Amino acid sequence: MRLNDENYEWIMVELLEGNLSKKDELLVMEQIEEDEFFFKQWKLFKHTEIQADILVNFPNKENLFKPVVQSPRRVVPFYGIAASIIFGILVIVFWPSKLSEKELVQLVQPLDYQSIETLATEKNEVIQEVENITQETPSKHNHLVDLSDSMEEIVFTKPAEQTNERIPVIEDSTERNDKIVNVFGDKFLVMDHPDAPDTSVVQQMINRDKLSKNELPLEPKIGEKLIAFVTNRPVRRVRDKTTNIVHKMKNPNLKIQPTFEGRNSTLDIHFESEGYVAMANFQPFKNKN
Amino acid sequence: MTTKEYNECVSEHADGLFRFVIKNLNDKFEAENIVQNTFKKLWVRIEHIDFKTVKAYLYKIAYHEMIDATRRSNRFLTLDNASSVISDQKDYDNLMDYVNKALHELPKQQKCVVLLRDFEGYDYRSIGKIMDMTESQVKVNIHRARKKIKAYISKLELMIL
Repeated sequence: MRLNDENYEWIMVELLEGNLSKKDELLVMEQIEEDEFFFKQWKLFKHTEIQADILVNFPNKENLFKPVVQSPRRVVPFYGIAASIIFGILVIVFWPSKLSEKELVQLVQPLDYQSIETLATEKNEVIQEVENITQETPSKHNHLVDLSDSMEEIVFTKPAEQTNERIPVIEDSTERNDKIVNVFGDKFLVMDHPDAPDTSVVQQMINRDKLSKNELPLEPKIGEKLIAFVTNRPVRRVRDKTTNIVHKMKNPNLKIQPTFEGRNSTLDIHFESEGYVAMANFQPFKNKN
Repeated sequence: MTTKEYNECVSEHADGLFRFVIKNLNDKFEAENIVQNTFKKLWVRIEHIDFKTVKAYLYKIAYHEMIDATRRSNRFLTLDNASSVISDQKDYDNLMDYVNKALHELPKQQKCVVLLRDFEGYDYRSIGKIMDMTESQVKVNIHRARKKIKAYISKLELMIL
């Protein structure tokens, strides 16, 4: 690379810019040092590099700074994700599930004998009161159910020992269809009722002393439905509630009207006492009652 | 880019950007406004800017701000009135004064190219990105600018060599 009058400016700018190779740089610098004209021109080119005025500073720099605050747009997704996770956990934890094995076992545990004795005492008192009522105003209660008769049919039995022994069940097939063997509630009752379910089903459940999911003979939905029916004890609940209410009322008039028409059977209860009237309607399986 | 990075950016580049603008416009008040607006625009788009490329982004904004400013008030100086306003700095020697005079005589693009090259040490490619030019155009402009400056100081026969 040789310097001449036509190309020296271009080569010197290239040298100044650092675009030449090391070899060319050395070659050009040798020529510049050897030639006075080129040396003078090179000096001038070196002054074309603009030096920054380092003493010149932006005066309002402090106004440009921003306070370091976490942007809410960056925070919101974090809280959103956290809330979603918590919500998911809560849904999993509180999601209504099927009856667990432990709950099923608890359903068939008999209660203590003390409660049965209490109920027996109440029963005698109620029968006595109803008898008194019907004797006082027999004509007035002609249309009503003779509660004393139905209550007489209630037979209390002493439960088995408070162990895991199998609960005695009436095995006679003729009796089985006439009685409800209620062993799933808080009291042991053997009572006659035309609405009584087939006790063979109850028997089937009683025999499951050691319940486990694998041993359940029924489909889960059917089994749960049956257990709900038996444990809710609709007929007995009606009778218990009626008995309690009648027991507390003075001069009550009671009318129980079962209805078997239509799809769902219902039981209407009509109370009248001292000018006050109360009506109730029970429908099995509706709202689990 | 985070707020912290933005503040780092202000610390590192505000002064250099101000020097670049004031050298181009030779107007301190206008230069301050442009730097202010440049960082304001950066703050608005802070989430979309990568901290690694923020310097080039700043100079690009400032360059376009300068173009807008000169279009509004024709601030770029000619050689005739360049000698009156150079800088607030009074420490220039004579040669530096004349180099600055020569610089302000240059066309806008050549002046910006030289300043970006000498002040910030940008390569041709980066300068081209900032000024929307090709590398060849940047190189040609740098050659022309240096020849003109050299011609100016040699014409004035400032032989302080």
